[in-house]
Amino acid sequence: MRWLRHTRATGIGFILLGLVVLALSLGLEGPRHMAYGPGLFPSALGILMALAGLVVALSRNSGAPEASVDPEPAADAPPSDSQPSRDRIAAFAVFAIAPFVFAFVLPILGFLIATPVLIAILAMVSGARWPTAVATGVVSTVLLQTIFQQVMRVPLPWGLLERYAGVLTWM
Amino acid sequence: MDVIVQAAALLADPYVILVMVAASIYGLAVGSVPGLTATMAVALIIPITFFMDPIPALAAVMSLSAMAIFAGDLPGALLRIPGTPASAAYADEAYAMTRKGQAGLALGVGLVCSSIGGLVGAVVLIAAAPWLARIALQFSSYEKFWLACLGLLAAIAVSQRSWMKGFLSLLLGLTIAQIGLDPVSGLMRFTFGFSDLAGGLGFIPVLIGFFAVPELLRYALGRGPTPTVKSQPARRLFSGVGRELVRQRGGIARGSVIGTVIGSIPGAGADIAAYVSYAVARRLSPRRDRFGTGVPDGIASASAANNSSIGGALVPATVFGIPGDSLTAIIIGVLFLKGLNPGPTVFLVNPELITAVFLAFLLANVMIVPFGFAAIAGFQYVLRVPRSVLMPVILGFCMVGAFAVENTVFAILTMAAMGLVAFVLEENDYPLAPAILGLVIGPMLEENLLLSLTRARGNLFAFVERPVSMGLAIVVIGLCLVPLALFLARRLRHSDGRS
Repeated sequence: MRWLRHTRATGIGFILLGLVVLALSLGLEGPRHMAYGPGLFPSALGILMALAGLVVALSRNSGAPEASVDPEPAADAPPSDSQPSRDRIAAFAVFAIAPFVFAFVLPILGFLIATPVLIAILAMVSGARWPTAVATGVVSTVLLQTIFQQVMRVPLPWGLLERYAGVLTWM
Repeated sequence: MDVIVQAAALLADPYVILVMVAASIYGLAVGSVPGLTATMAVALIIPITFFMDPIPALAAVMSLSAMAIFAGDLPGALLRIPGTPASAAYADEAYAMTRKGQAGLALGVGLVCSSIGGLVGAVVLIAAAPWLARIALQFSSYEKFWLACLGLLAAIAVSQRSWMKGFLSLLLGLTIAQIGLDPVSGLMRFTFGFSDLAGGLGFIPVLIGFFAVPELLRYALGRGPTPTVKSQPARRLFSGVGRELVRQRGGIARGSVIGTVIGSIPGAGADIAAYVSYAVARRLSPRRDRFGTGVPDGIASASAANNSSIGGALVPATVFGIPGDSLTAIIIGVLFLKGLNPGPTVFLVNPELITAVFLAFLLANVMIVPFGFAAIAGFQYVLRVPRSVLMPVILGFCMVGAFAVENTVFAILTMAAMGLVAFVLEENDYPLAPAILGLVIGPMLEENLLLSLTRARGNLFAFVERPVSMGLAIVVIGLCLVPLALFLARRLRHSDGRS
């Protein structure tokens, strides 16, 4: 993931974000009776962000940043600067995408189906065997359901199990 | 005194005590896992506290903060893997003691000093906060504006590697805070017609995204430290601790004071307090040559500073609404959620509630000793939970927690998107604490800036006409100019040396 570690690119990103914020802020019109409208503060932020981004992008050390000063890793841990394996990149992708997928399927499938499946998949890509992964998914779902829905009364989506909601509410 | 008695009565509820015990166990468990910080522990518990009454909710947050900060010492001492960034200051020293067969002494000294430091911080908090609040009541929008600037500047100042990156992180936080209703005119900004953005991005989903998600992504890449469980039981834990505490009394007092003072500076926090305290202890110790080889001098002073800084950080957090660090930024968020809007008026409107919160912090620091003893004994079991099981469960907790607070899947999307942004920023050495401070202080800064400009009819001199606002302005401008002057002086010296 070395391609992610490029300070100049982040500097350029901040310049663009600053310019977008500035452009959007200039389009904001406040009430006539107010001398200082809603665009004043964000437009100042946009200008400052673009300038600071420019400084970072142009600075001499704006290539890949130094390796972070993490505590000494365990003997079996990969060196922090080494390229991760394909499995690790796949695991990273699954962990990164999982919340987006969860947000999409949660209202459709419901909490009690979406959560154990997702956690089991995450556990499997993390290296757990499938029985452990399935057990992790089921146990953690029951725990989360108990804490949030049964105790805290948070209305978690039932989805496909809507008609069984009465049976599945156990407290 | 009546207020303290009323506050103590509020805390004496068995439900509150039970919640504190549960939060303490949770804080110890999370804080002792490398990579899981006290800040993350608090961020994760907020969805649960959201549904509690104010006193148990805030007592839970206080207990778990104190416990998680201490618990960071456990993996640091036994495995040389600091559980929290603040513990990193003295992890080497404690690990060196462990290698010499003095793990019990290292952990015992750290445990009792954490408790003493926390108690000092709590007493200062209870004594000084109401007094400071009376002064703060005299503050107008001008003083509040400069104070907000001071908090933001301090946040940048602690960005040790690059203050420019700290500044950009801060601007990002301030920009995120712009989404939604404008605090002065009440008009929509940057919502693009999405009703989900009308109230702005949820504070808690953003927090979880910023602190928990990058850690999970680093784990997925195999970057996080992978703890190996070694059988190092901390037997005879307190053997020699009493003697060492008497010998280190000066260092403990010094560490407690340093922690309280540094903690009370907005933007500083436990990490800096611990490092500064360890550095001062090293400079003043007669055994300075043996530092790093396993002497308890630095541990005593730094662990006292570590916990006392929380009490210190709560002074500006409760009196001015300015967080000392990212942990107190979250605590301020909880105070807001519970209707205890931080600021001087909270001491007039809800004196018994805010004092109960302080007393909860005091009590938590007393509870550290027995709970810490149990945690040391049980520590190895926590680390034995396979990461392949722990990390997916944490992500599940994050997603459900974000959803629960906002009751919309948009909160999960916010958390995920902010997590990816935070991951990229951390990969490029951008500190995240300034962004969180920007998110918290942003509305206060903008509101006071616009109110002041409107009152002064655009006259910028009005910002420095009142004595206190002028004093604060001098401090702020000085903090801006001094580093610049030092930078220019260094450049000049450098160019002279070349020629």
